[in-house]
Amino acid sequence: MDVAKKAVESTDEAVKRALLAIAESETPLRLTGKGEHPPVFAKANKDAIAVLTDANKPLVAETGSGKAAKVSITPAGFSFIADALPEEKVGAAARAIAEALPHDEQIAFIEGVLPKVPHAAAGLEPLLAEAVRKQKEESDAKIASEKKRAERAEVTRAAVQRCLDHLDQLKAANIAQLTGMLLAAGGKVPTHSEGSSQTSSKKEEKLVVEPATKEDHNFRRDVAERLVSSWRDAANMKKAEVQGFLETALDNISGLRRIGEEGENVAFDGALHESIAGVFTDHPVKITRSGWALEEDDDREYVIQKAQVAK
Amino acid sequence: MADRVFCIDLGSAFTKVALRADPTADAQLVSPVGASSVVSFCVPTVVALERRPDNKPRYEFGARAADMTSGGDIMVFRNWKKSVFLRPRSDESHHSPLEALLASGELADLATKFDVPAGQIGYLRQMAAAARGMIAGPGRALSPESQEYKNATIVAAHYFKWLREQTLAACERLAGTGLKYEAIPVRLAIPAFAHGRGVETHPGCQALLEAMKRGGWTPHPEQPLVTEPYSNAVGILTKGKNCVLRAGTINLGGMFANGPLMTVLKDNNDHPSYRALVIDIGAFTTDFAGVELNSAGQVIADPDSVFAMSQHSVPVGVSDLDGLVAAALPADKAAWMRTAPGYDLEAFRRNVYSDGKVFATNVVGRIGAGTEGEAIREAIQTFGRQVAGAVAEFCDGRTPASMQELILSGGGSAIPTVRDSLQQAAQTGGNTYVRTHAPALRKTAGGPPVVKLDAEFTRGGSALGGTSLYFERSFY
Repeated sequence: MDVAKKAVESTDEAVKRALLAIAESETPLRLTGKGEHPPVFAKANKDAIAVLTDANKPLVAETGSGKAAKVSITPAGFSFIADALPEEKVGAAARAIAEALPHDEQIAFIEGVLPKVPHAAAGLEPLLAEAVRKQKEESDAKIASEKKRAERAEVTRAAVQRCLDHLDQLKAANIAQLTGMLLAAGGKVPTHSEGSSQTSSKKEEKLVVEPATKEDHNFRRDVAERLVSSWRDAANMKKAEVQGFLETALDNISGLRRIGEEGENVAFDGALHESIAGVFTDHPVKITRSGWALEEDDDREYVIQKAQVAK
Repeated sequence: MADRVFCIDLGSAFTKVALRADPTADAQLVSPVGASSVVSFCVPTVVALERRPDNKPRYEFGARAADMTSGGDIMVFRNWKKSVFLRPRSDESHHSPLEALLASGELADLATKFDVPAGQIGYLRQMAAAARGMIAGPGRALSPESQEYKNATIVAAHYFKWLREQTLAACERLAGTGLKYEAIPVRLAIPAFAHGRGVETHPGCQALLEAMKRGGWTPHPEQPLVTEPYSNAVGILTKGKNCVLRAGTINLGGMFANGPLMTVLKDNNDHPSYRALVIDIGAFTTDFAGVELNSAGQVIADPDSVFAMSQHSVPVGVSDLDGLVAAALPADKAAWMRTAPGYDLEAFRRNVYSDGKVFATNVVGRIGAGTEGEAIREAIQTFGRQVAGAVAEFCDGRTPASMQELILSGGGSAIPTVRDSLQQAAQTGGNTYVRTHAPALRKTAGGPPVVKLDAEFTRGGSALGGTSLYFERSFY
């Protein structure tokens, strides 16, 4: 079908006319040129074709190639001419567009068109009913699939738990055997503080707080030192409330540990305790003010403030 | 020849140990257990002794002993290295064989072996000395200096033994090399005497070597001693690198990164002489050393054999700067400086001396604001002038070498005002420097090249340099 071009016709008018021709045609059309289907434009109208096929907002969609190429109206193209279509043709045109759309876009198209073009309701209603039915089916399928996945996950989790239980039993049996051997050889079972479990948990903690660069390392030390310094001043100046607040912060800093509790009886260790005249390693002393140490790499710690002790 | 070597830099306050694990390995500082928790490779050179009449004497070393105080049955030995070098010769000639036996290291070893408390040996010595004093009259008994020397040599042997245990334990934690660390010999960095010559026969050095052997260390077979400023310069100039050529001989160009020293060695006509001026501003002293080489137009394959040393020390250090600053402050702030714990004082120095900022305290408020800041700046300048005066005196009259490098190390060289004064003073007598090495140093537009030193080389340069392949004669 040829669309005769008027003597003075704007691009918009040419576009509109082309869209109406496609919508009202009972047989497929192509945009221009010769082929199996008649052209919308007998003579190529570059401006109108550019608007119709604009990649950002195409008004028509071309399917097929070569001589078999044909065009159909997109939802945007339909909106462009919906008001201009005769009432008896709106429904069929809308339905033709909707049928070509994927399921989810189909519903969105119908929902958008109906308020604007109520005449299309009769033509679109069966389509909408079908879309709703399909959506329900898909929804049911998804629910069933999720239920099956959850059941499989539960089976896997239960299997993993059974494996862990078996491994725990194996570990317990090994420990019991080794403990028995140790006791039989005249040894004694180490306490937790002597064992390696504490060391490994310490290492795990360190992994979290370990600084990455020298600057990180120095900054971390600097911040800890300033807090401890203020804490010590608060303690010396008998400002219990300030000391308490700073203590809360210090206690919660990852990697910072308190050295001794006030009143605690300990063996003197020059690396951790502030010396008093005449006290040597392992002499019994009492902590009079805690100290603070920062855990660092390679199982080392930086003792910021030694604990104050008295005989 | 030693493919591997330890170097101990026995400082008065801190000891540093470095290792070269094979001929081409970079030197590395070892961090023994018992090191200071502030800097992991600095071991406090402190020994504490508990001597109870009924018990075996107990020793404590390093960080554990560092803050102990003498009193009751406890003696704490700090800065004992100088006592080893102050050996009074006059006592030697008056020693009877019995006194020589009582004072000998062999007897101390035997006493340890048979669990005889050191206190009892000490009482024996005192008895013998008292008896001699009674017989010979006043002035003939063992002098206090001799007693101090003997104490220091005994302390040294125990310290070296402990240091060896801690060092070997630390080496076992190094990445798996399968090395037998206990078989690696050691080189000791000692103060420069007599312009670096004759250190091998100096009684103090011999006493330290002896103490090291008693502590279980094997001295390096060819060169067991190296002077501190020389090894410091080599450590800093090589950055701890060791290189050999394909033929297996030393690659000095690779080690010194083809720097000024290599220029002198290669082009002895245009650049016949070289000097590295090392200025180390410590807590209590500032040491200057000129490490010099004069090729006199000759090709030098082994620079170590022709290097000469000149050294000078002045009893001025960062603690004197603290004194000047405290004197410029109100009494309460000066008192804060005297009683603040080490980490607060270090933060104060960093903020006020190096960064020129105000330091806030809870006890005495802000230090360094307004007129206080001006007074502090004046004190820093005064200190800078004191040290610079000594540097200028050291440099004045020395004919400039054709290639010179300036090395500034120690805590004081991180203070910009002081560093600027030193750089200026080092130019006295027309001396110029093709390169300057210093901590926290920035290149100025149009100024000579600078090399920024990190903490490892600022503090551990001597130990790192002492392990250098540069000192292995067999690789030349």
